[in-house]
Amino acid sequence: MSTYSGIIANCVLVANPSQVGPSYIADAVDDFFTHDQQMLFASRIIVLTGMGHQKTPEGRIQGSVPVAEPANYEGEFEFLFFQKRPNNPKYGNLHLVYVILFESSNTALLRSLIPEIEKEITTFQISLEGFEGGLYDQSKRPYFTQKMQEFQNILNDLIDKMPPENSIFDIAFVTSLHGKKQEFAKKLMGSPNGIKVSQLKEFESVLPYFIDQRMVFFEGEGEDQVIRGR
Amino acid sequence: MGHTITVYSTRGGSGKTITSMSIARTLATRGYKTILVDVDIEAPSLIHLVPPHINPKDMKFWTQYIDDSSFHISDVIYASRVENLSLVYSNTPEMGKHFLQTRQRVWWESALKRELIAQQDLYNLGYDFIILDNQSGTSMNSVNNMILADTSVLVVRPANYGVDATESFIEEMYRVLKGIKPRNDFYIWNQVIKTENDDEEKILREFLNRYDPRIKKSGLTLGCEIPFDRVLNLFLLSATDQISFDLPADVQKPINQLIDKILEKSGQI
Repeated sequence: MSTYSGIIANCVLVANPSQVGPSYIADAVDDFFTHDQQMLFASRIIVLTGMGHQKTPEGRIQGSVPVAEPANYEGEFEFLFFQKRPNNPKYGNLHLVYVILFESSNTALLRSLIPEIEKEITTFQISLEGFEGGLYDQSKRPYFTQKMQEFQNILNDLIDKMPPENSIFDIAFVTSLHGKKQEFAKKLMGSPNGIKVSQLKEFESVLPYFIDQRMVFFEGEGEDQVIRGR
Repeated sequence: MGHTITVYSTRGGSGKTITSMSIARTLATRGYKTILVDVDIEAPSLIHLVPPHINPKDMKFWTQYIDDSSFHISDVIYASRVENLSLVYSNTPEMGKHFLQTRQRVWWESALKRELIAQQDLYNLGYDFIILDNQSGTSMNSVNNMILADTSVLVVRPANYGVDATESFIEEMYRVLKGIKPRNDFYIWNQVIKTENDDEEKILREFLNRYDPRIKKSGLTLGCEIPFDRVLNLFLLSATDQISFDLPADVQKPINQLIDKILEKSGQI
């Protein structure tokens, strides 16, 4: 099970089955978009990626620079998209677009991961059952949701492996923080076994800062889940 | 759960290692499973004061443990002649100085993580007390070793130049360390001269009374006064295993006082 890094807001799969047009296939996070937002988002992705070109090489990843997406959600999100045409001519012009939504403060981090993400998508196994005849079979949605959650876990693992710019174990950095941030960082430094998430109430306001900076990670599940410094 | 005591000073030659050895030995003889770790990688001296029973070329050292994640702390533990007391040595100063001079911030972050792992592993191995003979002064290494401490013991020699430096040093040190974990901080006067008449005693007491409040204002508690002991100092000129010999009574007594205070404050009595 991947540890939750909190940087990836959602992973979305969009496709262009020839008979139904732009389709929001599934995403990793429930209720992230409303139904209307999903339709709008899928259409926008189609336009941005210029899908429909029969000449897109099969199996090759087409990526893009991060694009701002402020309109569809409260947070300041951006997204990366990677389109892949299946390695099988029986699906004709079908393109799958993997879209990764993240907070705009992490643009540089995600940009640095593009080659790794492309490698992952290249080898990521996903069944295309449900796309026969240029259609999309809605009953397959739970499967694609599960695949997007799997994909998001892979991305979280990639991010977890990246060293943070600052560390909880750098006392000079920790003492440069102020107020609750410093208090929390010191508490983490002195807790090598981590701190139970249930005991973090007083630090809720500063926790997003440490998650964004990737200086913390979560371990375990439920009541036993702890947060640890890195 | 175990307890970690870091012994440190603002400058070398204050008697840090002898104090560390005395604390470790006394805890061990009281029945606590204790380990003394020479974390003074700049000027390691345990290897000289307690010569190991095997050739140093065949040994593994603390410096290797923190640098190489393939080591487990148990790889660098050596038995002493004192029951319940184990030792971890640091290598020759060259290796430590190499680390101190060449390693970057990221390496020291990793070293702190390695030390925190060692601390947990030593507790899991059943050690009640870990005594860290720290490097003097401020460095990434000495601060890392202070971070681990549940109790710190600052060793101060009563001399103007030493105490003035100590005073300015500890205020900053404790500001930085405050809040990392609950910690009890003690200071001890070490090698206190034995006065021979009332006038000399008055000079000594005036000195100590002048500095005591200035050190205590940083939150430290006086642990004990250890007198300068001629026999102990002569003994240090020899090259035998110095941890297995009884301390002179006038040194053992204040060490016992210090340990009683540590045990009381840590709730281990």
